[in-house]
This record gives sequence, C-alpha cells and structure tokens, in this order.
Amino acid sequence: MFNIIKTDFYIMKGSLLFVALYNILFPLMFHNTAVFVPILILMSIYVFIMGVFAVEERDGIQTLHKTLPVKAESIVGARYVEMLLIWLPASALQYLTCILLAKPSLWDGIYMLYSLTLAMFFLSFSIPVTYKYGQVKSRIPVMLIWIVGSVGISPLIIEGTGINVPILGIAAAVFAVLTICSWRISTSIYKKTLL
Amino acid sequence: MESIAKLKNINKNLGDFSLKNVNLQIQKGYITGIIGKNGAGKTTIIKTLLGMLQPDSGSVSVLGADMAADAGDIKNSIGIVLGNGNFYAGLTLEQMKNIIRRFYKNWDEAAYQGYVQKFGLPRDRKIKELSTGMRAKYNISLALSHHAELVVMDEPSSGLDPVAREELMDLLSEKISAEEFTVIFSTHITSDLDRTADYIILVDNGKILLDRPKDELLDAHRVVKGPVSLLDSTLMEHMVSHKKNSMNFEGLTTEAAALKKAYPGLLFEKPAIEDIMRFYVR
Repeated sequence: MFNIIKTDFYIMKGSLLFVALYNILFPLMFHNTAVFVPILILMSIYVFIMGVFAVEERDGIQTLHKTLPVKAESIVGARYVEMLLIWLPASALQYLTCILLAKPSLWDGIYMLYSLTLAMFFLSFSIPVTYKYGQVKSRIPVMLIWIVGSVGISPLIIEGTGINVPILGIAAAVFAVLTICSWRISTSIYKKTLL
Repeated sequence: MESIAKLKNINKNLGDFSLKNVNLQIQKGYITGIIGKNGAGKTTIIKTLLGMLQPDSGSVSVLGADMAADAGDIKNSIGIVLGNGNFYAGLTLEQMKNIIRRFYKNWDEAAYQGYVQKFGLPRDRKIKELSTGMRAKYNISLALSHHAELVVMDEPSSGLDPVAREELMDLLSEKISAEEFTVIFSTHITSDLDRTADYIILVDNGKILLDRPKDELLDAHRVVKGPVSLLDSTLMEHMVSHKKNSMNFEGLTTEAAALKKAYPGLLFEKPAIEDIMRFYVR
C-alpha cells in the first residue's frame, strides 16, 4: 500500500501544488466566513483522488497494478488513506493561513471534524462508483456528490443552523463505518473488473 | 516432472466467449508455448493463471499458491509481460523503473541495466515517445529483472521485428539452461516457438485442443499432400482436417505410417507448429 501511495503522490505532484495554492489563496480571499474550510478540503480531495483515477484509466495502470506483487485490498485501500493524507495538510495550510490573517477563530477543531466527515461521505460513495463504472463515466455523479457535500450542504449548516456537535460526532462515527464498508465493496468490485 | 502452475477444471463465462473445463499443468524449467488464433482464449487463460480474472469454477495454483486467495505476494516470483505493457506515459524509462522496482523484493538493478544496454533502450526518453518495439523490449526488461521463477508472456513478440524476436527467443533459451526458470509464452506467431518451445498448448474457442511436448507433437503428425483425385472418404477420415483446390489437397494426419502403405502416391512431410495449428482449428 505504501508503494502505491508513494507512486500516486509522485504522479500527482503537479496537482498537489495547486491544492496547496487553493488552501492558501481561498482563505485569504474569503476570510469573513468559515464556509470555505470544508469546501476547499473536499475540493482538494476531489482533485487529487479523481486525478489519480483519471491518469490510471488513461494509461491502463489498473492492468499494471494487477501484475505487481500487491494485494487488491492494498491498492484500493490506498485511495482511502490518500484522502487522510490530503485532508491533514490541507487543514494545516488553512489553519496557518488563518493564523497569518490573525483570524484563528475562523478555523477550529469542529470544522476540521466536519470536513473529515464530509470527506468520508464523499469517498464512501465516489470510490465504489468510480471502480464500477470507470472514471470517465462516473465523472458526473461523482461531481454531483461533491457539489451536494460541499457547496450544497455546508453553507446551509455553517452559516445557517450551525454545527451541532453531538450530531456531528454521530455522523463522523457512521461515516467512518461506511468508509470501511465502502473499502470492502470497492475491493470486491476491483477484483471482478475485466481488463 | 514437477509442475509449476496448474489450472484445474476452469470455467469462465465472459458473455460471448467462455473458457470450458480448462485443465493445464505447466512443467517447471521449460518453455511452454500457448498457441491459437485471435480470440481463441490465450489471453484469458494467461490472465486466469495470473489471478487477474476470477474463474466461475475451478482452481488455479502457481508456485504452490492458490491464486484466488493469495495473488499478491507470489507475484514477486513471477515476471509478467502483457502486450506492450501499461505504464505512466509521461514518465521516462528510468522514472517508471524506479516506481516498479520498489514493489519487488529481489529487484536486480545490474540485470535491468544489462537488458537496457542489450536492447539499446534510451533511459531518459518518455514512454509515450517509444516505438512499439522499444516499448515491448522495455516491458521484457522489467519482467526479467527481479529473479522471477516463472515468466509469463502474452504476445510479447507481436511488436518486435524478426531480428528482435530471435534475440528474445535466444535470451529465453539461455536463461532456461542457465537457471531454474520457467517460461509460459502465448503467441500467434508460431515460428517463434518452432526453435525454442518445449511444450505446446493449442487453444481454440476456449478449449484446450492439444497439450503435449513439442517434439512428440511434431513427430506424431505429418502433413499429407497429393492430387485431389486421391482424396476419398477413407483418406478424409484418417486426417485431422484438410483443404483442397481444383488440383491438389493438403491435410494433417497422425496415421502417416498406415496411409503411406495405402496411398503410395501421397507426399508426407514433417509439420511445423503452424501446420498443427492451421489444421486443428479449421
């Protein structure tokens, strides 16, 4: 799994630069609202993970993976771990930007947990869909999932009702279990993929 | 003789094509050629052997490992060449190799550099800029650079010129005699196997038609040629199949000795692997 993750980060190093820039510039631009926090993090994860799938599909890398000494569970699991590896530095960059803006209150642990919950929601559905139908066919449904999760729900919750911490905790636990189920389902789909 | 890979009662339905009750044992330390026309099932068998396709029923074991349960780690000992390979097109050969080498416990950098030099590959050129032949050679170089016990190749020579194909077959023969090393090689270019194969498996329409040592196969068959006037129903019954035109016919038989006595006007010749394939799949 570690080698798959290392390879993906190497291949997508150009995208990582843009992800870093988004997470610095957008807080600078929208520093009066915390809505950007989950939107940007979800966008960072979307750009990276879907970018990996796009390159794999273009170059037939799924066939390469099946010839390498690495188990299907590790190949698929790498995608979910990569989500965490993008979420953490994206969150850190936003936090540092907020510190520089002298607006640390814009960003706190609640938004971090909220963005992680959203990310798990996003991956739980988008990764199995992408493995089942391929990156090209699943672009639209995956983008819809992203839109619903980020610019759809987040402004309503953060600017509207406010984040209910106990409900957020339950949602995080539910989506964590869903993410593990999603990994198992994605692995099963991956193993049956005809190449 | 010890077998290194086994397919037992394999069935796999792929819609308009299926593998039907495939049973194979690949002998250790030899070159086994899998032949058949396009769409016969050669690639499907190779992918099933490698655990890339899950059969509907049956079992696959390679190097003692059940490929359904454990198709990960065992691939450290398998070198795989599928067509011209699948690589990140924007990377150079050196960059791609650095990615691949991390996955293998027994990567041999000196061996890899040796093959790159032997095949004249440009290390710093991007993969998308390689010709088909260079890409095939690069794929082969990677497969042979991690001390694999089994090398599985699916149509590896289809992108190579005749000189490069001969180089490849000589290289494989050298490695077989020098090391404990087994090769499975699927191709529709049967001339590649005439010199080097030890075993021949003929596949047609998802079924195994023949699975025998090459020399035994060629000794057991003869190509029969003669004027069409001699072609009667008795002769046709004693041939695997035949083809004819207005003047002559040509066929394949396993009963050459008897036919020589009964039909003294016929010509009998030792077949090539291509002749075996042509007449069995007609």
